[in-house]
Amino acid sequence: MNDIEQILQDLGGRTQKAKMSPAEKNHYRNKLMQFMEKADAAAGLKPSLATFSEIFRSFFRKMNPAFLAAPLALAIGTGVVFAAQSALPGNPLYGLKINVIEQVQTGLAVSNYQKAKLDIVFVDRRLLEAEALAEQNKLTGELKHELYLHFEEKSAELMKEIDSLKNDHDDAAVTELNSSFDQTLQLHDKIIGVLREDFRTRVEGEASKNTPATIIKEPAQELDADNRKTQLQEEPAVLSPLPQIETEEE
Amino acid sequence: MANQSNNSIIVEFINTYDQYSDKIFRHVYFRTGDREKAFDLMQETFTKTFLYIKGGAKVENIQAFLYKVANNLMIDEGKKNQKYKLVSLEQLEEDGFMPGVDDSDEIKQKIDAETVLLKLGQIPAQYQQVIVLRYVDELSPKEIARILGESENAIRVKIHRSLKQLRKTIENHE
Repeated sequence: MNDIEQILQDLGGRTQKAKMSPAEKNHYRNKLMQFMEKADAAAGLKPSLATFSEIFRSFFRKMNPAFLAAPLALAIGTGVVFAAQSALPGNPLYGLKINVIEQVQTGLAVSNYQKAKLDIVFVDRRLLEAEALAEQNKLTGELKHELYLHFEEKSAELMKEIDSLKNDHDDAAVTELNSSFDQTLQLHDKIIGVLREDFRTRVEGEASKNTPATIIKEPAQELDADNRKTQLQEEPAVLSPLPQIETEEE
Repeated sequence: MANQSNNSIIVEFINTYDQYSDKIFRHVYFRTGDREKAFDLMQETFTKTFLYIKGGAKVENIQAFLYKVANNLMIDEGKKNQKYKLVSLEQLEEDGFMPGVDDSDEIKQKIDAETVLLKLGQIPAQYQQVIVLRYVDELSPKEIARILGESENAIRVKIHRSLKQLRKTIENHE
């Protein structure tokens, strides 16, 4: 056997890969943020505008320094913005969090890659919110539905961004983002199951409420759509009037 | 003023997480051989440290403090539940942290590493700890001294003794 110290050094070097994936790191970062905000709320402390600004800045610094632009200042208008960061669905500030703050963050992303990374952060947040509500026994049917729709919306946006990266042949980014997204889903496997089950029950409930007339109407609509498709395909043949026009001009 | 202090704690702490979370995760993962447990203990290390700092306590060296908290948590967990064992090469490969090997030199290296890891898990915890800190976490004797609250010289001696102990255990095996 070689020198033990040498083997240990080699082992240390070879195991440097043993670290969290970007998705895992982001997930536990979000969890830590949630914990710190909760601890502050319990202590009756209100983090100021500067705090939010700094954390926000710190987040974007890692992605691209050029992000530190004027729109950031617009997003951080008041201390309320910070309070909204920890708001859970059902809280009046929650709308501000997802419709304003996160939209501003998305607006600051300058590439599809950055937007996709942000979408993964937001997906993770939605699922953490669902888990936090479930822990507090506050995850009502309505909130499950709301969170599921947000989760689906962000996932769909992410898929679009990944598709455009595929079109740009940015294979490394596509692989990284797919893997990151898969890991995020795995981390929240249980709560996703709960939200999906609620959604499925809802859809089935809605379907059973449908009247027979509606049910009959649906295939008819599909048929119409099929007919329309056929018509569109045939249209060029039916409509080719150019020779006639030329004849009239003459 | 108090509010300002609170703000800077949060900001600094997020930066601390970004800087050290991988190191703490790796250390705990290596010592427990359990990826899920490593996530939990890493997270708990940061939340406990945050509460400690927020409570007004001063931390002179955050890296040393985080390792200390992580080690204490592992000891507590070890008392409550099962004793942890060091990660194995097989586990590292399973978790995707180590590539497979093909050529004969690498296979030889792998066998050596496997034996060393196995025997490292059999030596007393105090020796095991300094070896992991020194060779896996790649910390200097000075940094280890801060974590363990001992002098740098004492740590150098401890590393030397730990290697001797490990060598002896391997020779007995051979």
